[in-house]
Amino acid sequence: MRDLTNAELVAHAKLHSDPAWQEIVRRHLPLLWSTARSAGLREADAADVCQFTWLTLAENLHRIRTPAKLSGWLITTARHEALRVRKVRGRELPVDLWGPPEPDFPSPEELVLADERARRLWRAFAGLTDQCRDILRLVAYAPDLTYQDVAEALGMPVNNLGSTRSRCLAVLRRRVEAEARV
Amino acid sequence: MTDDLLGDLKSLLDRVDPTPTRLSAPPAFPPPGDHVPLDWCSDSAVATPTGMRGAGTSRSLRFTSDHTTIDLRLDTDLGVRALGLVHPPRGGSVLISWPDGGSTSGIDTVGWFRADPLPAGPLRFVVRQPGLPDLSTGWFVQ
Repeated sequence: MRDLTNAELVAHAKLHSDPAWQEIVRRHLPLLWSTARSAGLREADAADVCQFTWLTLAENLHRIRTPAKLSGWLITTARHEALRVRKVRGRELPVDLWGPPEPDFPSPEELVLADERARRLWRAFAGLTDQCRDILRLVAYAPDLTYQDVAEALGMPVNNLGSTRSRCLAVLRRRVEAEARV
Repeated sequence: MTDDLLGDLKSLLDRVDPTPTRLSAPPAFPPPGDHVPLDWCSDSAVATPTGMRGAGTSRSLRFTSDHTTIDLRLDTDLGVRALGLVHPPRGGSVLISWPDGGSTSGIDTVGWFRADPLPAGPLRFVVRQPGLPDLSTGWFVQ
Protein backbone atom coordinates (compact mmCIF):
# COMPACT_ATOMS: atom_id res chain seq x y z
CA MET A 1 0.00 0.00 0.00
CA ARG A 2 2.91 2.37 0.69
CA ASP A 3 3.71 2.53 -3.03
CA LEU A 4 0.21 3.60 -4.04
CA THR A 5 -0.67 7.17 -4.91
CA ASN A 6 -3.34 9.03 -2.97
CA ALA A 7 -5.75 8.58 -5.88
CA GLU A 8 -5.16 4.84 -5.85
CA LEU A 9 -5.62 4.69 -2.09
CA VAL A 10 -8.94 6.53 -2.37
CA ALA A 11 -10.08 4.08 -5.06
CA HIS A 12 -9.23 1.13 -2.80
CA ALA A 13 -10.80 2.77 0.25
CA LYS A 14 -14.06 3.24 -1.67
CA LEU A 15 -14.12 -0.55 -1.98
CA HIS A 16 -13.79 -0.75 1.83
CA SER A 17 -10.15 -1.82 1.79
CA ASP A 18 -8.94 -1.60 5.37
CA PRO A 19 -5.22 -1.57 4.42
CA ALA A 20 -5.86 1.39 2.10
CA TRP A 21 -7.67 3.22 4.88
CA GLN A 22 -4.82 2.53 7.30
CA GLU A 23 -2.26 3.78 4.80
CA ILE A 24 -4.23 7.01 4.28
CA VAL A 25 -4.18 7.52 8.05
CA ARG A 26 -0.50 6.63 8.41
CA ARG A 27 0.49 8.94 5.57
CA HIS A 28 -1.48 11.96 6.73
CA LEU A 29 -1.75 11.79 10.52
CA PRO A 30 1.37 13.89 11.33
CA LEU A 31 0.19 16.48 8.81
CA LEU A 32 -3.29 16.67 10.36
CA TRP A 33 -1.88 16.77 13.88
CA SER A 34 0.41 19.60 12.91
CA THR A 35 -2.44 21.42 11.17
CA ALA A 36 -4.67 21.21 14.26
CA ARG A 37 -1.90 22.21 16.65
CA SER A 38 -0.85 25.13 14.47
CA ALA A 39 -4.41 26.44 14.83
CA GLY A 40 -3.66 26.80 18.56
CA LEU A 41 -5.60 23.79 19.84
CA ARG A 42 -4.64 21.92 22.99
CA GLU A 43 -3.80 18.23 22.60
CA ALA A 44 -7.26 16.80 23.37
CA ASP A 45 -8.95 19.12 20.89
CA ALA A 46 -6.31 18.47 18.22
CA ALA A 47 -6.92 14.73 18.66
CA ASP A 48 -10.66 15.31 18.25
CA VAL A 49 -10.03 17.27 15.04
CA CYS A 50 -7.91 14.41 13.66
CA GLN A 51 -10.69 11.95 14.46
CA PHE A 52 -13.31 14.28 13.00
CA THR A 53 -11.30 14.48 9.77
CA TRP A 54 -11.19 10.69 9.33
CA LEU A 55 -14.92 10.39 10.04
CA THR A 56 -15.69 13.16 7.57
CA LEU A 57 -13.45 11.56 4.96
CA ALA A 58 -15.24 8.22 5.38
CA GLU A 59 -18.59 9.92 5.02
CA ASN A 60 -17.54 11.85 1.93
CA LEU A 61 -15.20 9.40 0.21
CA HIS A 62 -17.55 8.95 -2.72
CA ARG A 63 -17.96 12.73 -3.08
CA ILE A 64 -14.25 13.60 -3.45
CA ARG A 65 -14.00 14.84 -7.00
CA THR A 66 -10.21 14.87 -7.34
CA PRO A 67 -8.75 11.95 -5.35
CA ALA A 68 -5.21 12.99 -6.26
CA LYS A 69 -5.79 16.07 -4.11
CA LEU A 70 -6.59 14.03 -1.02
CA SER A 71 -3.85 15.68 1.06
CA GLY A 72 -5.16 19.15 0.32
CA TRP A 73 -8.74 18.06 1.05
CA LEU A 74 -7.72 16.61 4.42
CA ILE A 75 -5.75 19.68 5.44
CA THR A 76 -8.54 22.04 4.44
CA THR A 77 -11.12 19.95 6.31
CA ALA A 78 -8.97 19.69 9.45
CA ARG A 79 -7.99 23.35 9.46
CA HIS A 80 -11.56 24.54 8.96
CA GLU A 81 -12.79 22.48 11.92
CA ALA A 82 -9.76 23.39 14.04
CA LEU A 83 -10.52 27.08 13.62
CA ARG A 84 -14.16 26.43 14.53
CA VAL A 85 -13.12 24.49 17.66
CA ARG A 86 -10.76 27.28 18.62
CA LYS A 87 -13.68 29.70 18.51
CA VAL A 88 -15.82 27.34 20.62
CA ARG A 89 -13.06 26.89 23.20
CA GLY A 90 -12.26 30.59 23.13
CA ARG A 91 -15.80 31.19 24.38
CA GLU A 92 -15.37 28.67 27.18
CA LEU A 93 -11.83 29.21 28.50
CA PRO A 94 -10.87 32.87 28.32
CA VAL A 95 -8.62 32.96 31.39
CA ASP A 96 -4.89 32.18 31.36
CA LEU A 97 -4.03 31.84 35.03
CA TRP A 98 -0.34 31.49 34.40
CA GLY A 99 0.22 34.56 32.28
CA PRO A 100 2.91 34.94 29.64
CA PRO A 101 6.19 33.05 30.12
CA GLU A 102 9.32 34.83 31.26
CA PRO A 103 11.06 35.94 28.07
CA ASP A 104 14.55 34.71 29.01
CA PHE A 105 13.46 31.39 30.41
CA PRO A 106 13.72 28.48 27.97
CA SER A 107 10.36 27.35 26.64
CA PRO A 108 9.18 23.77 27.25
CA GLU A 109 9.90 23.11 23.58
CA GLU A 110 13.48 24.28 23.98
CA LEU A 111 13.96 22.09 27.04
CA VAL A 112 13.21 18.92 25.05
CA LEU A 113 15.70 19.85 22.36
CA ALA A 114 19.04 18.57 23.53
CA ASP A 115 21.29 19.94 20.82
CA GLU A 116 22.04 23.57 20.22
CA ARG A 117 21.41 23.35 16.46
CA ALA A 118 17.83 22.20 17.02
CA ARG A 119 17.29 24.93 19.62
CA ARG A 120 18.50 27.56 17.16
CA LEU A 121 16.12 26.30 14.50
CA TRP A 122 13.24 26.25 16.99
CA ARG A 123 13.90 29.80 18.16
CA ALA A 124 14.14 30.99 14.57
CA PHE A 125 10.92 29.18 13.60
CA ALA A 126 9.04 30.41 16.68
CA GLY A 127 9.99 33.99 15.76
CA LEU A 128 8.42 33.84 12.30
CA THR A 129 5.02 35.30 11.50
CA ASP A 130 1.97 33.04 11.88
CA GLN A 131 1.61 32.93 8.11
CA CYS A 132 5.23 31.85 7.59
CA ARG A 133 4.98 29.20 10.30
CA ASP A 134 1.77 27.81 8.76
CA ILE A 135 3.25 27.64 5.26
CA LEU A 136 6.55 26.08 6.30
CA ARG A 137 4.85 23.58 8.60
CA LEU A 138 2.65 22.37 5.75
CA VAL A 139 5.40 22.10 3.16
CA ALA A 140 7.74 20.44 5.69
CA TYR A 141 5.19 17.69 6.33
CA ALA A 142 3.83 17.40 2.80
CA PRO A 143 6.47 18.47 0.27
CA ASP A 144 4.34 17.02 -2.54
CA LEU A 145 1.51 19.49 -1.96
CA THR A 146 0.99 21.85 -4.87
CA TYR A 147 0.93 25.59 -4.31
CA GLN A 148 -2.78 25.38 -5.09
CA ASP A 149 -3.29 22.84 -2.24
CA VAL A 150 -1.35 24.93 0.27
CA ALA A 151 -3.10 28.13 -0.80
CA GLU A 152 -6.54 26.52 -0.45
CA ALA A 153 -5.68 25.04 2.94
CA LEU A 154 -4.45 28.35 4.31
CA GLY A 155 -6.96 30.59 2.55
CA MET A 156 -4.26 32.50 0.68
CA PRO A 157 -4.14 33.68 -2.92
CA VAL A 158 -2.22 31.05 -4.89
CA ASN A 159 -0.32 33.59 -6.97
CA ASN A 160 1.46 34.94 -3.86
CA LEU A 161 2.31 31.61 -2.36
CA GLY A 162 5.53 30.78 -4.20
CA SER A 163 7.16 34.09 -3.36
CA THR A 164 5.85 34.07 0.22
CA ARG A 165 7.11 30.54 0.79
CA SER A 166 10.57 31.47 -0.56
CA ARG A 167 10.66 34.59 1.60
CA CYS A 168 9.66 32.67 4.74
CA LEU A 169 12.30 30.04 4.10
CA ALA A 170 14.94 32.71 3.48
CA VAL A 171 14.03 34.49 6.72
CA LEU A 172 14.19 31.21 8.63
CA ARG A 173 17.59 30.36 7.18
CA ARG A 174 18.91 33.85 7.91
CA ARG A 175 17.72 33.74 11.51
CA VAL A 176 19.18 30.29 12.10
CA GLU A 177 22.52 31.58 10.83
CA ALA A 178 22.23 34.71 12.95
CA GLU A 179 21.48 32.58 16.03
CA ALA A 180 24.61 30.54 15.28
CA ARG A 181 26.75 33.68 15.33
CA VAL A 182 25.46 34.82 18.76
CA MET B 1 8.88 22.01 -2.82
CA THR B 2 11.77 20.32 -1.02
CA ASP B 3 14.60 21.77 1.01
CA ASP B 4 17.04 20.39 3.62
CA LEU B 5 15.99 23.07 6.05
CA LEU B 6 12.40 21.87 5.68
CA GLY B 7 13.55 18.32 6.46
CA ASP B 8 15.26 19.60 9.60
CA LEU B 9 12.10 21.52 10.48
CA LYS B 10 9.94 18.40 10.11
CA SER B 11 12.27 16.44 12.42
CA LEU B 12 12.18 19.30 14.89
CA LEU B 13 8.37 19.55 14.91
CA ASP B 14 8.15 15.77 15.39
CA ARG B 15 10.31 16.09 18.50
CA VAL B 16 8.76 19.23 19.94
CA ASP B 17 5.12 18.26 19.39
CA PRO B 18 4.95 14.54 18.49
CA THR B 19 1.72 13.02 17.28
CA PRO B 20 0.29 11.10 20.29
CA THR B 21 0.88 7.38 19.91
CA ARG B 22 -2.79 6.64 20.64
CA LEU B 23 -3.66 8.40 17.36
CA SER B 24 -1.16 6.29 15.43
CA ALA B 25 -3.42 3.25 15.72
CA PRO B 26 -5.72 3.84 12.74
CA PRO B 27 -9.42 4.00 13.53
CA ALA B 28 -11.65 1.24 12.23
CA PHE B 29 -12.95 2.07 8.77
CA PRO B 30 -16.24 3.83 9.47
CA PRO B 31 -18.76 2.81 6.79
CA PRO B 32 -20.39 5.74 5.00
CA GLY B 33 -24.03 6.24 5.93
CA ASP B 34 -26.90 6.50 3.49
CA HIS B 35 -27.88 10.00 4.58
CA VAL B 36 -28.78 13.23 2.88
CA PRO B 37 -26.42 15.94 4.18
CA LEU B 38 -28.10 18.94 5.78
CA ASP B 39 -26.81 22.43 5.01
CA TRP B 40 -25.13 24.35 7.85
CA CYS B 41 -27.16 27.49 8.24
CA SER B 42 -25.71 29.07 11.37
CA ASP B 43 -23.34 28.30 14.23
CA SER B 44 -22.95 30.52 17.26
CA ALA B 45 -19.33 29.33 17.52
CA VAL B 46 -18.62 31.25 14.33
CA ALA B 47 -21.02 34.20 14.74
CA THR B 48 -22.93 34.96 17.91
CA PRO B 49 -26.62 35.45 16.99
CA THR B 50 -28.03 38.91 17.48
CA GLY B 51 -29.47 39.32 20.95
CA MET B 52 -27.19 36.78 22.62
CA ARG B 53 -25.13 38.17 25.49
CA GLY B 54 -21.86 36.89 26.93
CA ALA B 55 -19.68 33.98 25.97
CA GLY B 56 -21.29 31.19 27.95
CA THR B 57 -21.08 27.46 27.45
CA SER B 58 -23.97 27.03 25.01
CA ARG B 59 -23.64 26.58 21.30
CA SER B 60 -26.57 27.01 18.92
CA LEU B 61 -26.58 25.49 15.46
CA ARG B 62 -29.15 25.46 12.67
CA PHE B 63 -29.23 22.97 9.81
CA THR B 64 -31.65 22.99 6.90
CA SER B 65 -32.76 20.86 3.98
CA ASP B 66 -35.45 21.54 1.39
CA HIS B 67 -38.20 20.43 3.76
CA THR B 68 -36.78 20.40 7.27
CA THR B 69 -35.05 22.75 9.71
CA ILE B 70 -33.16 21.47 12.75
CA ASP B 71 -32.19 23.76 15.60
CA LEU B 72 -29.68 22.35 18.01
CA ARG B 73 -28.49 23.72 21.31
CA LEU B 74 -25.48 22.12 22.96
CA ASP B 75 -24.69 22.90 26.58
CA THR B 76 -21.30 21.97 27.99
CA ASP B 77 -21.39 23.27 31.56
CA LEU B 78 -22.06 19.76 33.00
CA GLY B 79 -20.94 17.39 30.28
CA VAL B 80 -22.46 17.75 26.81
CA ARG B 81 -26.26 18.00 26.66
CA ALA B 82 -28.24 18.42 23.46
CA LEU B 83 -31.67 19.95 23.01
CA GLY B 84 -33.07 19.98 19.50
CA LEU B 85 -36.13 21.08 17.57
CA VAL B 86 -37.13 19.56 14.23
CA HIS B 87 -39.45 21.68 12.11
CA PRO B 88 -41.98 20.81 10.84
CA PRO B 89 -42.62 18.04 13.38
CA ARG B 90 -43.28 14.63 11.83
CA GLY B 91 -42.28 12.33 14.70
CA GLY B 92 -39.44 9.87 14.22
CA SER B 93 -36.11 9.79 16.02
CA VAL B 94 -32.61 11.22 16.07
CA LEU B 95 -29.56 8.97 15.99
CA ILE B 96 -26.61 10.64 17.68
CA SER B 97 -23.22 9.14 16.85
CA TRP B 98 -19.75 9.58 18.26
CA PRO B 99 -16.59 7.70 17.21
CA ASP B 100 -17.12 4.64 19.39
CA GLY B 101 -20.83 4.66 20.08
CA GLY B 102 -24.21 6.25 19.65
CA SER B 103 -27.68 6.72 21.12
CA THR B 104 -31.20 7.31 19.84
CA SER B 105 -33.69 9.93 21.05
CA GLY B 106 -37.34 10.13 20.11
CA ILE B 107 -38.80 13.30 18.56
CA ASP B 108 -42.00 14.40 20.34
CA THR B 109 -45.17 15.71 18.70
CA VAL B 110 -43.93 19.30 18.84
CA GLY B 111 -40.56 18.36 17.31
CA TRP B 112 -38.36 18.45 20.41
CA PHE B 113 -35.70 15.90 21.25
CA ARG B 114 -33.10 15.67 24.02
CA ALA B 115 -29.86 13.75 24.45
CA ASP B 116 -27.96 13.73 27.72
CA PRO B 117 -25.17 13.00 28.49
CA LEU B 118 -23.05 12.96 25.34
CA PRO B 119 -19.27 12.64 25.16
CA ALA B 120 -17.12 15.60 24.16
CA GLY B 121 -15.48 15.30 20.76
CA PRO B 122 -16.86 14.52 17.30
CA LEU B 123 -20.67 14.18 17.11
CA ARG B 124 -23.16 13.62 14.30
CA PHE B 125 -26.95 13.89 14.40
CA VAL B 126 -29.08 11.93 11.92
CA VAL B 127 -32.80 12.71 11.83
CA ARG B 128 -35.05 9.82 10.84
CA GLN B 129 -38.60 10.76 9.91
CA PRO B 130 -41.28 8.44 8.57
CA GLY B 131 -41.42 8.36 4.78
CA LEU B 132 -38.45 10.69 4.30
CA PRO B 133 -34.74 10.09 3.68
CA ASP B 134 -32.47 10.30 6.73
CA LEU B 135 -30.94 13.75 7.20
CA SER B 136 -27.41 14.13 8.59
CA THR B 137 -25.74 17.13 10.16
CA GLY B 138 -22.36 15.64 9.26
CA TRP B 139 -19.63 15.39 11.87
CA PHE B 140 -18.51 18.31 13.99
CA VAL B 141 -16.43 18.64 17.15
CA GLN B 142 -18.18 19.74 20.33
